Amino acid sequence: MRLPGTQTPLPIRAYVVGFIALGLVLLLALSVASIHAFEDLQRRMADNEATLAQQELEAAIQHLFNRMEHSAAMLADHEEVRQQLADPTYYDFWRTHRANTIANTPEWVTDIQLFNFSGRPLMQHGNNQVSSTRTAADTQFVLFRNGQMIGSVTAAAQQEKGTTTDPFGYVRISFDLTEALRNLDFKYADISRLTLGAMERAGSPWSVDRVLQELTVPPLPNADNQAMSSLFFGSLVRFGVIAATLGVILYIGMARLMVRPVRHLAGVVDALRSGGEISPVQQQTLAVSELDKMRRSLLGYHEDLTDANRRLDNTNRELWTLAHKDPLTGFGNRRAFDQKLAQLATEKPKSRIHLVLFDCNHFKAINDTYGHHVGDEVLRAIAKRIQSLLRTEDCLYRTGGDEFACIFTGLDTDAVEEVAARCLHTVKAGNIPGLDAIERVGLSAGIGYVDPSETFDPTLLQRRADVAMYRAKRPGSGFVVRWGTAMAGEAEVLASRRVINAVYRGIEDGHGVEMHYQLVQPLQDETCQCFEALARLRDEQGLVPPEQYFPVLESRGLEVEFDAAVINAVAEDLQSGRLDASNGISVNLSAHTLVRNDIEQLLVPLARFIHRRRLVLEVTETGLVSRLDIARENLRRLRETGFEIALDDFGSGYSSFKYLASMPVDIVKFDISLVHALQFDDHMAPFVADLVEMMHRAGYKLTAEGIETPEMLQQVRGLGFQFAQGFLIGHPYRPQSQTAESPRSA
Amino acid sequence: MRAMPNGLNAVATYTAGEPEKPAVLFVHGFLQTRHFPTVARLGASLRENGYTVLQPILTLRVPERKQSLSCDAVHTHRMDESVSEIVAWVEMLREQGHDQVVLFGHSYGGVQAVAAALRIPDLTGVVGISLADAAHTFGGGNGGNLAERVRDQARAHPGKVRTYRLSHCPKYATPPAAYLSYVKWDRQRILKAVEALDTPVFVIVGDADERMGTDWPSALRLAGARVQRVPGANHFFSAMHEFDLVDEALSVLEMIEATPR
Repeated sequence: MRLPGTQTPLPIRAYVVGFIALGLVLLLALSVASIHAFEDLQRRMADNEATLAQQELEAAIQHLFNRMEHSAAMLADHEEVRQQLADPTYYDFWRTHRANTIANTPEWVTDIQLFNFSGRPLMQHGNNQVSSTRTAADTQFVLFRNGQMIGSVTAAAQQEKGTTTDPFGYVRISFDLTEALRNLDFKYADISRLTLGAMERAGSPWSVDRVLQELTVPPLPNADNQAMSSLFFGSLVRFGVIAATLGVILYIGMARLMVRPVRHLAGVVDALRSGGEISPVQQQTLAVSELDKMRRSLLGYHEDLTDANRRLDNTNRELWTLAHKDPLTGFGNRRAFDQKLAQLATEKPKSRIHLVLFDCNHFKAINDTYGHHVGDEVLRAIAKRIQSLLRTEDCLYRTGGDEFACIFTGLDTDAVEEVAARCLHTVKAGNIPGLDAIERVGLSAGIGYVDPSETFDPTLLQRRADVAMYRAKRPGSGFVVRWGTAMAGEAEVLASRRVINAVYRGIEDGHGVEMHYQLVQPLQDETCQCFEALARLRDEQGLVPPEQYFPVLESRGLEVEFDAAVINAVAEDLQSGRLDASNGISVNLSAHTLVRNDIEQLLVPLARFIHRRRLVLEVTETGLVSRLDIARENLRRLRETGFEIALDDFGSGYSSFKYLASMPVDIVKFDISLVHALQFDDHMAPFVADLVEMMHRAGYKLTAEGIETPEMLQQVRGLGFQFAQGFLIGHPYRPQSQTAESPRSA
Repeated sequence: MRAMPNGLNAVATYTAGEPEKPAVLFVHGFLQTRHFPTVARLGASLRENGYTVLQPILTLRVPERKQSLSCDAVHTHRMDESVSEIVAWVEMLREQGHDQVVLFGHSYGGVQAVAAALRIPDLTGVVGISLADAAHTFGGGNGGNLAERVRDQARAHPGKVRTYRLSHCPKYATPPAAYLSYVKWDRQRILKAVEALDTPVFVIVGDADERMGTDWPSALRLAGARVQRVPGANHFFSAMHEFDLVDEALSVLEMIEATPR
């Protein structure tokens, strides 16, 4: 997992610490939020308690006044009060000794007074007077005196009990309201901190309602609230301690159970990747089963992978051996030989590199005489004997049926020749099982070399060795011939064995002749697609390009035979439906074929397709120059047969317009040099353009060869060419299906 | 309700009975009211028997007194005032047309009835139930010396309230003169009053009532009262003796009615 925006992954410890830290931060945030909520709750509770305290105070005061009013009423109805009101002679005594007793008032009642019906106090020295008119203000009021609130209630004593008229007198009970409040049990109000407000400055009585408005009392300390607060904060602290402890434990636990095992696993992975040893510590079982399972799986997979790699290596070695070893002799084969040469080419040798080719003389005769089994024994014996004379660093290769090669480095030519001579002698001297005792196997050896001053070319080395071998085969050569500069001309002429073999095989039975077809794109109003048939040779080593086999054809005069093979191959492709029936085919004919009297006979395999598709015969300018009359006549007859004639590579050689005009040519194929001149040669371009124009007026169809860019195509199209051919149009290819499609067409 | 000679209103219940039967006026015990069970039940029984019954509550200087006066109250009332109230109630009965009036008094109420009978001419009869003198009421057995002491106090500080001991009132607060008004009605004075009365005097006493001593009934007889003794009854004729009291009261009334005038 990577954090967004980061390039480098973080170690697991960072995640563990981060996770734990995040958890602690969340817990801290939760705690802070809880504290805020709790404090808010406490504030609301405090407000509520303050309200309750105030309400409780008001209720208490009302209760006290009600109680005192009830006591005053009860006292007013008492017969002793009536007695005193009737005869206050002994009122003082009664008030002192009896009034509180019969009133049954609490200790905080400060005074009980009786007043006569007119409101005058019975006491002689009493100066307060009850108003004769009963009002609420007179009934209940509060005085502030000597730091205390004195409440007073007044009740009327009726003449007749139960009536409210004609008061007989009045009873007033005065009580210490402050003390009375202190004697009450308050649940909410803290009476000890009662504040009187403006009442402290009041000189006159206040009504109870006004007193209630003025008095304020704070709430009692809420033990439950305090306990809850202590419990909450204590719990919070404990929770914090527990959380921190858990965090540490979690860190330790995760470090042991996760971080360490994961790092352990990472170490195992590193060790496996680096190919190092798995330490005993890394092999220890992990505490977490899943992680240990991963560890065991990693080790197991690595072991399996190692085994698989080992087996793969073994298989590769076997395959390599099979690919590079000659199964008969056990020594290197052709592939190994070519790879060795390629390796030397990359190494750029600093000394002369020698190649010795050994060829068994008359091996075909031995094979035919004694059978292939003996022939194989002969080859094995030759190989062993040659190898026995080589240095450790010298490798022997079997490059052909009875051919062997050996590459020598670090030796001079004389030493190599001496080794080669010894090989010949040793092979010839020894008996080979299966052969008659008098039969001796002779070898020829050709030594080729390339000096360090020359660019090391494996083909050159092989060619020189071939030339030397060719000389060694001649009678009187001594069978060991080293290459010399005098043989240089022969090397150019002497094509490689491979190419020669490919040519002859192709000529003899058509084996290896492979026709590739390149699209000739119609332009302008032309509609018929045509493909030019291009001959290739293929052997077991791959394609032999024309530049390699043409010299063989020319040097050996095999042009006519090769054309015949090509015609047969094209006919076979047409017959097998490899090419679409709507496509035309153009076949190249050599000059030698062109002047043959039996040319129609040669073209018989192809002529049977004339009426089914367009067939074009391409001839070069060179072919037209020699034996012009025969060529003309042959072409005329072929045109009558139905073939179209195309002049190929026009502009690449000597061409006379007179010759061109006198020849039965339908199509002129402008050579790539003329086509490129149109675009890149400002001096030649006008001439070529005029030539094109002249060809048009002469009635020839023109094909532009070498079209490689869209600009070139556009240009030739603009000039009126009827056909275009080139890599832009399509590469030569061998169709795989029965319908021919150009791999790329413009 | 009726205005009393002391200017205060007093309350009473009045039930008219058969006109040919004498009216009965009950005087309750000291500091009590007509609701006291002894007099209340007897009054109800006499009403049921067709007697006119008047049950007042002596004011004891409490306007319209309806409840018993506590021992701890300031007692400003006097004996003579109570007697005057009784006389006023008899006058009320006379005003109602009752020529024959019998005074019933329980405990010291009987003493008050006897005292009132001295002031009421042509009273048909006086019946004392558990008649008890003032001396025993006022902290028993030491009345003579106490009376003298009280007189001395009354002379020295007539308006000062003092605390004396009453039989069930350990602290009876009263002016000495008021206290004295009760104290002077001792055994001798009671007997002397009984003897002086022309009105027939009956006394119903219980054998279990020894407040006045065991010789009290005989002393009363010697004084001329006819004493009816109820065996086993206490001072209050409580429990089953309530009915004995009723029987005796009816019997006494019959005797009174039978007494030629």
